[in-house]
Amino acid sequence: MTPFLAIVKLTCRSAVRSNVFRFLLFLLIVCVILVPNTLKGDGTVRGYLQVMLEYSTAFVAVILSTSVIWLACKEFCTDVENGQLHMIVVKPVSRVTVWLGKFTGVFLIHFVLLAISFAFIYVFLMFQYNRQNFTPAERARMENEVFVGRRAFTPDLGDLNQKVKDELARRVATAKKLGEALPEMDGAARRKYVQSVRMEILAGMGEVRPGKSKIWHYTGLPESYDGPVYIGFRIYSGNIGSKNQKIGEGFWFFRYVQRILDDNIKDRNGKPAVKETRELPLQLPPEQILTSAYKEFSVPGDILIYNGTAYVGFANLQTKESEVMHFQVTESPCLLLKETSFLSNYLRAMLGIALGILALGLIASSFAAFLSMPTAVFLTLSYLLTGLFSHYLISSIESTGGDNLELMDKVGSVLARIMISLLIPVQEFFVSGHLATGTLIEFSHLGALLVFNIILKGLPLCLLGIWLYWRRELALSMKQ
Amino acid sequence: MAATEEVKSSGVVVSAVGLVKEFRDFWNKPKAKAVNDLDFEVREGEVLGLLGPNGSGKSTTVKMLLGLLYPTAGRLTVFGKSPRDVDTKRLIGYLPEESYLYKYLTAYETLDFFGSLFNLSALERRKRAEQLLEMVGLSHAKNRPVGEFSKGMTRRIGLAQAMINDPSLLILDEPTSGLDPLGCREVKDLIHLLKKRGKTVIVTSHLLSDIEEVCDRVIILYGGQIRAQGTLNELLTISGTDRITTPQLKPEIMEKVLSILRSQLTEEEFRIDHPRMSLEEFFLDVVNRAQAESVETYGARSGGQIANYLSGGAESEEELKAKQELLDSLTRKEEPAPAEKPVEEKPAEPVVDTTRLEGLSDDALQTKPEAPAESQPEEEEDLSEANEKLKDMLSGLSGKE
Repeated sequence: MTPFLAIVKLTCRSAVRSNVFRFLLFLLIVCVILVPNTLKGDGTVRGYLQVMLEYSTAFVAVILSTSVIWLACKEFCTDVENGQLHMIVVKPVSRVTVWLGKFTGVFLIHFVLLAISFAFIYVFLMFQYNRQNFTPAERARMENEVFVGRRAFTPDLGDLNQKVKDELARRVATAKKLGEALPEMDGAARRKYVQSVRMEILAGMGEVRPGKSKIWHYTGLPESYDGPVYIGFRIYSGNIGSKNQKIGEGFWFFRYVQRILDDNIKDRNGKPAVKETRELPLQLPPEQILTSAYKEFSVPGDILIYNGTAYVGFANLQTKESEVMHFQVTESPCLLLKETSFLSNYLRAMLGIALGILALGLIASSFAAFLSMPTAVFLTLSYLLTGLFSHYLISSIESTGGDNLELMDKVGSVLARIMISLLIPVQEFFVSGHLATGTLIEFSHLGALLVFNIILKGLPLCLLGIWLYWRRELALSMKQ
Repeated sequence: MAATEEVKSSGVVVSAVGLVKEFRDFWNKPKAKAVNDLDFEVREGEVLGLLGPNGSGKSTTVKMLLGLLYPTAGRLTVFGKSPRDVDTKRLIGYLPEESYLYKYLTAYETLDFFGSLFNLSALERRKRAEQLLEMVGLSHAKNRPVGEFSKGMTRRIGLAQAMINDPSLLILDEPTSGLDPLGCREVKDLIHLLKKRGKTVIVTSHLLSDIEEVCDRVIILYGGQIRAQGTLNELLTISGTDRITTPQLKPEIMEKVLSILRSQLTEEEFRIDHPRMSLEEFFLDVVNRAQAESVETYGARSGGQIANYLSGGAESEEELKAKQELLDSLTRKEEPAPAEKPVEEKPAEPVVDTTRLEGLSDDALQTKPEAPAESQPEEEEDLSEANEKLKDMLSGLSGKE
């Protein structure tokens, strides 16, 4: 253990005493101190605090990500190229220990910096929040919408694949019945057609035509919840307002299950038992709604939720045929329930970023274990960019694939899928956006990132790097 | 450790059989054969010199010994195991030709770090680091980053790190490169001391006088192959010639000697001159005098006492006894084995062979009492100087700064 700790310590010293690292540290301090003081947000104090929260944490994440790549590559490559590693590997310490020690040192120093930066941002944020003259209502709103960790529940889409199959079958049957030509159902054309049907179904689930309403069903909610439930939504389309803003008109309604109690019968807790229930619709007043903008309003949880389920409806009060309102049902309307405190959510965000730094350090250390510094940095950045754009690549290929590019489409699509399955999408670790909207950063999400991305995708690369590090002839890589 | 047991029984520390190292290009095509079919052994307690011009394969051989390069063919073992074996490295100390130390670490941190790699306790690391710094004359610079050191100081700290584990096999690549004569002398003294303690040392150097002075055996490489190997006596003795050294002879005696020589040899076949001190000896003498006068220097200072743990780790009485023993051994008259040569022995000087002198036919030379009477004080003076230096080195009692 002593050799391992010595290498960890050496790596930290190397970082602290390096000029490049000091420069990055300076940038970090500048970001942590200056960014909050230069932001304005949307002009409101709430907006300012939200933007500060998002931007400050994001800047810290970006700088530490850059730094971890640089330091990992430097620690591994220059040690080999300058011959310093020779002095270590001729001592009784295995190269695996050397690799692990250096990697741990690189991660550790960044984790400490991350913790310090986040602590500073938190203190500064709380200082700014407490010095504002918020009314009690505004303060309550801040604490319910921003300084909180809320779990988001989106509408239950049911078995979407089955719905797509049913719709396809229905269309085929209709075409046969009417004697119409069937759509082309081979290869890429079928995939495109199925994709378009899926999109249509999803669009249909979020479409509210003029004079009509739509009800969404939510499951998986807590059995009982007394606090406020926030309904967040974003509506697309509508009329052009006086300030070139799109506006629409509608109202929200809910299912309210009224419990009728029997005072003569007590439940386990000694409270009156529920004798019967009655479902009642509850409606909010009609309102003008600014479209394309995210909005939230709250409803008491004990009214909205019953037995872990809820029904939320929206009626479109527009009259013209073209004034259709759309929701993206994969995102909204969503129910936001307070799950944890802001501090807890903040620490989860920090943990997410720490995992991201761990992933980046792992990738860079793995490449740097057997490559020269410029090559290792180049490959690490290529890896990140490829991981970042693989999803876009697939959707781009699938949306543009014409008949004459079919083979290329196939190759591109297969390659993109292989990349997605092999590469770590590092951007998923950086969750500053969630933090700023008070959205709960789920442990299950962090766990999935750790298991599927770091362990399943990162570990093989890491083992490859360690193996090559272990077997390489170090004296061949020295700068003369 | 099984390997150590094996070495103890066989006495072989390093064994190379048919050792080949071929460098290949990106396409795996042979580019250069740096080492070609080397066979050699290094035995326990031996000081071996690896000699050869640039590109002869010395460094490649050393790097293979350390597991930094892998042999293309052949078999290489160190302490009976592969050079890549991690445990074997506990027994090895290595001083590379260039300074590969971390420039941002101070001298003390450097030794502490390398001590940690040997799993030494913090207390032991501190003790050894301080003793080594004292030994290599860098105690005053222990908190300075190694990057600020002169080349000589860097070599000294490099040597100290190579000794941190009290190695059984010490590999020194150009150990005196960059050192002043004082430093060179200290390194050579150290090698003698290590040899006395039964350590095995492999030295590569371009300075042939260094090799000659410290090595029992040398291997001369050229083109990746061994061109000559053997003990210094085997390799360097010029058969068919003799040398006689005496105290300065009176003119009449000299005349007699010359007449005897002229009667037996032609003028071209013999030569008479005055022996000279080597420049190194003269330099050391000057510096020793300066140190005795406490002249201040900011560079590396003359090394202090050998680190306790390198001297066997003895304490108090035992330590004194060991020091005395060493002192005695180093100051006693020359013994046949090179290992027992005193530290201050001057190998470059001719050896007085009294039996040969007696063999000369002139009676006057044998009956004259003046010659031995004159030679006695000179010999005593040499020994007292050696004693003084060794006292400095072993106990640090005299003012060395």
